[in-house]
Amino acid sequence: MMENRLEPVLTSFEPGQTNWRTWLEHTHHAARPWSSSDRPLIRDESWKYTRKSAFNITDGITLPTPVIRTAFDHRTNWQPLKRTRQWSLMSLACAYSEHADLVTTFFGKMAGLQTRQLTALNTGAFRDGIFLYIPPGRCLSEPIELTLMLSPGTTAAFPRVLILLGAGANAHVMERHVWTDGLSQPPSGVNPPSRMINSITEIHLGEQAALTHYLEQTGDPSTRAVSLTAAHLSTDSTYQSFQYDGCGFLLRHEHDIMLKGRGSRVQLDVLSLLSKGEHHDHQTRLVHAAPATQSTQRIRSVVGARATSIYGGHIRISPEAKGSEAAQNNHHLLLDSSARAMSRPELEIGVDDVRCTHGATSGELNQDTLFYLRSRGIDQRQARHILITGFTEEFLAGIPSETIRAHWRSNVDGILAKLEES
Amino acid sequence: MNLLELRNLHVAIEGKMVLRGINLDVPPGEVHAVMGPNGSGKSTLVQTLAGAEPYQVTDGQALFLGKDLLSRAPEERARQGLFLAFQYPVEISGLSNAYFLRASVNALNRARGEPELDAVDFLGVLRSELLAMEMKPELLERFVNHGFSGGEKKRNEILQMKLLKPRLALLDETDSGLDIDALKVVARGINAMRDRERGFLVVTHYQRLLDYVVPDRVHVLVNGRIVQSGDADLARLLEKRGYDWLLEPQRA
Repeated sequence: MMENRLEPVLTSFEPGQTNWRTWLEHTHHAARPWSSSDRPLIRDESWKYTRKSAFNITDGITLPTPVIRTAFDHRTNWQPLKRTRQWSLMSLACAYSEHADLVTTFFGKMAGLQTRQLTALNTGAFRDGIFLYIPPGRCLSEPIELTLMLSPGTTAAFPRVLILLGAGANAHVMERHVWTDGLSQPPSGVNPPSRMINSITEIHLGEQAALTHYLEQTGDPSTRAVSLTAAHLSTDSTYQSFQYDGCGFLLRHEHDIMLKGRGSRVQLDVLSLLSKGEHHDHQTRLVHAAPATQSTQRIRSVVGARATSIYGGHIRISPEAKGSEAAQNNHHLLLDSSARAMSRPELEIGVDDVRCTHGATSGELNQDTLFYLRSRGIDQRQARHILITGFTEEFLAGIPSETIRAHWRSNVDGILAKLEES
Repeated sequence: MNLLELRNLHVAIEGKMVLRGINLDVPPGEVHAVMGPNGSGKSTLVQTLAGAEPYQVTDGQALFLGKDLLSRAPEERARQGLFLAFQYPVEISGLSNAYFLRASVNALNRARGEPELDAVDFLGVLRSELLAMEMKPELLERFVNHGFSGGEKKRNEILQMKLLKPRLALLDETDSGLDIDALKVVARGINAMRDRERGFLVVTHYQRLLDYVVPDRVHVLVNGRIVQSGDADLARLLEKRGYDWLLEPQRA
């Protein structure tokens, strides 16, 4: 078993790979025309504040292969991919032979090629990915952890994840993106080569399914990562997403959520911590396409010196979505006068009888609140710390899993300590 | 030695003069009330003494326990034994009230060279005070002042005063927005703190609170100056006659 511990998914092909190869080539081929940078795309405007060229998007895709590992418990040992009566977790290549109908039905369905050039680039370049399937009616009591890591020396990676929950299924999934190359620090004065990651996670929830999805992204100063979470929600299904972006020179994340079924609900909670000079860009696109659907979004960022935090939130309420509710909130906490933040809500409401609210704040710590704490004998430094922690705690306190809450809290504490020093 | 001595204190906010020469002494063991119409500068006075930033002292002096007060940071003033009960206590998201109260008590304990309290010891201290202030225990778990009613916020201020045990407490319209039962609880909290060492400067618009917390001295502040001082009877006179009769000489 030990040999399997670090076995990359990509070498674990099982019989039937010829078909998979053919399908993969076909998929790559289909994506190529859409990945060309001169083709105008619908959503180019969302790139207003982040330079697309920063992601080194080129046509030549002869890049090293990423290692994608799947782990259940990163503290103890790696385990091989697993299949039980409760659920299946395997490479996409395996899934293509075992669950061909699911893969061909759902792959590329939530992340459409024509809307986003980066989706086409990923689809035209990925070699394999992770497939997680929870059959109808199954409830997982234990959270599943998917850790995506890069093999040393990787300069570009195209991870791909497909998560499918059958009707009435219930699961907690922690998806960790570790965008460092696992090498020790380069000698001082030497800049590590920059790495470009373009990852896509597609999620489909069957009727009355419920997924609690945790996404953690960490990188280092050479990381440039763009990622997409695209989800379709069937009738009465619930998607809860908690995202924590700890560190990374240039991060852009997009959420593409389609509330397709009546009564489906989504909750997005994001906390982004930006150290000196970093650039994080969050884009959310929610489509309420059925009656009585609900969405709640709380996007928060703590922005250090010379860092830039962007948020763009598009909510569309279709004419069919009577009785729907959407609430969007975005708060940037600026720790320095050189920190910058932008917020761009877009609401498109196609029917009466809906409730749609949005709010955005951006600013430094409130002086009245600081004074209140100082008037109680708490010094300025500690008062600032208490208030910044309070801001992040609003995100952390809402996390259902105690383990993940504690894990993220200690990570947040570490980064804040550095941020407050500088 | 007086707890507080104000000499010719002038204070401006955004270039506009609000206090125009305040002279006031508060000796230990006394309760002084500052009354006056809206806009007379009552809140400016106590906010300035606590060290709120927007207020600029343009002239005069303030001594606390015989030492200059105005050059010190707000937290140093608190550590010396000054306390302000806010007229509008702020809400602080993400910070539990219990954590905040303990952080405050420990900040002062550190400054006084006393041992800091851990969560368990502190809870013991807190429980009895909470009971005395007739506050629901759940208010400890909530974020500071979040979802508190007006009365609960004011009780929370007095609770802090009782925990921090200041030498001089400045109470800024602590009675406003309280119903009669809450007012009695708050007054009881203040009276329980009265002793020969401690002083109070109670800012109020109405005489109502002074029925329960009987002051040693009453000062009437009009247009940034103390125009009249007297004993508790002055408060009752103001209740009957209002402030108008004191405004007249100003206009002349």
